[in-house]
Amino acid sequence: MLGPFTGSPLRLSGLLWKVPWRLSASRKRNQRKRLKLVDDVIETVQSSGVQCHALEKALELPKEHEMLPKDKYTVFSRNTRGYRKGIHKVPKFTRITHRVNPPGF
Amino acid sequence: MSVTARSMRITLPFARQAKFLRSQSTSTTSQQSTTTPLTLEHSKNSSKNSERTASTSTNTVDESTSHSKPTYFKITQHRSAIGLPKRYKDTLVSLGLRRRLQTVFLPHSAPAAGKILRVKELVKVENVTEAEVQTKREMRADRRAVRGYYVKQKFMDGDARSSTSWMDGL
Repeated sequence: MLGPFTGSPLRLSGLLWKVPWRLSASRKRNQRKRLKLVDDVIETVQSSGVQCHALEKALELPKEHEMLPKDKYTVFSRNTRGYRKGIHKVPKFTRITHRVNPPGF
Repeated sequence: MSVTARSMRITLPFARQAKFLRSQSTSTTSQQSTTTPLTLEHSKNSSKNSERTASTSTNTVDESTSHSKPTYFKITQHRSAIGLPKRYKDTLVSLGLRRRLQTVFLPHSAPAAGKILRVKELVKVENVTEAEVQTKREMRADRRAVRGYYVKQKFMDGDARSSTSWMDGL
């Protein structure tokens, strides 16, 4: 409960950090842009003609235009109501690849 | 490249090797490149272009297609690996990338492709031909602004020339 960044109730004269539960329109636009950049990298490596195991794995990932908005902006979370939380709650979400979630959630 | 103690560092000589190969092919037109420094870059480019067009017209089809086929990755780091696990930092080191916006050239190979795909969120890639590969010095020279003057004469220590000898030829 207590800690440097957990935030404590104002009644206890604690500070408040607000984090919105969803991404704003500009954040979503940037997320789509990042997904497209990664798609470009994979496509460039594919067009080079080199074959490797990592490329086969990367080609299995869905492209940005094939993904549902739900998968672009939220991730599966076992502890949350509805089993989904905003992708911005994932640490380093702008620099990791997270495109696939368990089926049915 | 001989393997010495000094060359055991992580160095990527591919760009320098490509530059050496390019200098071999343009050795016949080296005379054209010794012009005034102000137009050195332009003359170098023009001599290269003229040499390339001449070669494509006189040489066989195989040579021209092999020169135009992209065989190198041009990798630019756009995002840092700060806060990411060690494997991403080590992958950038193995690619030769030390900082953001640094560009590195690697020949096409499965290991290189695998490294790029591991850090695919941090880099941008392009397929380029061998002729487009540049060394660090060449990339820096491209960024440098052209000066509004060129050095006609330098007065080194030990020269017996007078300070007005530059006017002799005029």
